[in-house]
Amino acid sequence: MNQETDVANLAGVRADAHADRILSSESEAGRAFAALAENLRSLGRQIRSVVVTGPEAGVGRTTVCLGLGAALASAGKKVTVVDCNLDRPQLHRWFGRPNFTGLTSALEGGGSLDDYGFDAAPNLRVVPTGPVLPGPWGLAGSPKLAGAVRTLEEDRDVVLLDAPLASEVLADRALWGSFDGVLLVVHATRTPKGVARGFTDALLDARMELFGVVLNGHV
Amino acid sequence: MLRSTRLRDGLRERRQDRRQGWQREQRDDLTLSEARHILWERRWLVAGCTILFLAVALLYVFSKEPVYTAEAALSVRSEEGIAPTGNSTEVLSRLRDSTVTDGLPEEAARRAGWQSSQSDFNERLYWEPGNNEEVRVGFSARTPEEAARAANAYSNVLVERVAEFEGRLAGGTVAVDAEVEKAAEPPESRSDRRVSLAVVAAGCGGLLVGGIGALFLEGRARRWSGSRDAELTLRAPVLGVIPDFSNGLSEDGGAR
Repeated sequence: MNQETDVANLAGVRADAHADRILSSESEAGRAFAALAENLRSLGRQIRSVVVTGPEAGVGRTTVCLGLGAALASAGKKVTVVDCNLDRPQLHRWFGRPNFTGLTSALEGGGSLDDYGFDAAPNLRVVPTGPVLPGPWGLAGSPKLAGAVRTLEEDRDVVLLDAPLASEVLADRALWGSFDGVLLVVHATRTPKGVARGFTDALLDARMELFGVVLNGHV
Repeated sequence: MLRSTRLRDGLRERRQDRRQGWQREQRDDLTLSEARHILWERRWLVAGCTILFLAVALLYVFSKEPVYTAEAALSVRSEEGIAPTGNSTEVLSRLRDSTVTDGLPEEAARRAGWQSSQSDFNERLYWEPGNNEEVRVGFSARTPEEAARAANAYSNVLVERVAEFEGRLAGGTVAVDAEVEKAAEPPESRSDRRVSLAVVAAGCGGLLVGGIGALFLEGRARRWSGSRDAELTLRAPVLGVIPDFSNGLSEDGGAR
């Protein structure tokens, strides 16, 4: 069974047609994500964990995470996408899944993050947030998250973290800066240029490893 | 696993030393390429401001009464010979204070056929030291002929008065001799220098205001024209440009 067929078979469990477009390597979006994956690989360093953040809500962090994950998975990499947005869980909705288990379950109960996720496509595993408890950063902001991701890196080639907004990433730079690097997503018709520039400068000032920028929603 | 974690921590520490050029560069100042990019993106705003400023400046210049300035040159010599450099100012001030110049402007105005008030005539008249013994007498008027006529009238009356007083100033300490070295000629056009100055000032002002406006608006702009725009704006590499494929999809199913 080839990869396209696998993706098509999985479409039945996905509620949102948006995911189809992202996960299909034949679509225009799929080709764009393949180029993004290639550019990331061409940075010439070993990249195991990537923090995907954005200057404001609605720029497409989840879209980029899934699209990049699908592109890397198509290239034979074992990829896990982890939804770290405990204040607004979203990833499970893309696949019409319940959010009964996920990141919070793993951090609370122990075990590998992968055990609390599901396969979205061959080589691509998705870990939702799991049940969101009061005081979301009580769990995700702790060193437990970094440890869980590092454990996951042992088994997976790349871990993509669908991270909170850049302001929150900067506020907890000890946590988010402990991963290999950051991708900043800006939206081509929504993100104010001054705001995006401000966060780019702030991430570099904080000496975080900014791989680069993804311009999403280009018309 | 502990060994592996330490290894990765070590790699991350070393990573700090491998920061690439664009990551290390000073990011506070506006680079030339960035400024050029912003000005080009907002070229219509900059051009509009410049044209507006130029139009206002030219309107102002040309709406004002035209001014033509004619100048005559007089040579003023001391009795001992040509006044040394710097002395013409002294001689000039002595001439101003002496009886030689009493009623001089009135006589000059009469000879020039001046129709307006005497105070207006006096305001339009100036005389100032030139090089060495030279004194320049200038007059600004509405027509070139009127300007030349008034400047020459004043120069001639001054020379005649100096001759009448036998070259001796009221104080009796300095003797002078004056003659018209070069009569004023009607100027060909209105004061080009003022027009040029207004054009240059308005042009620079328009560019400056347009540029500041472009910087202000660009910082608030939400439309990114492409990867080059993003790279120049953010001064960071753009690794991917994802097309908009969310037509008809809800926000929840779309971007976050």
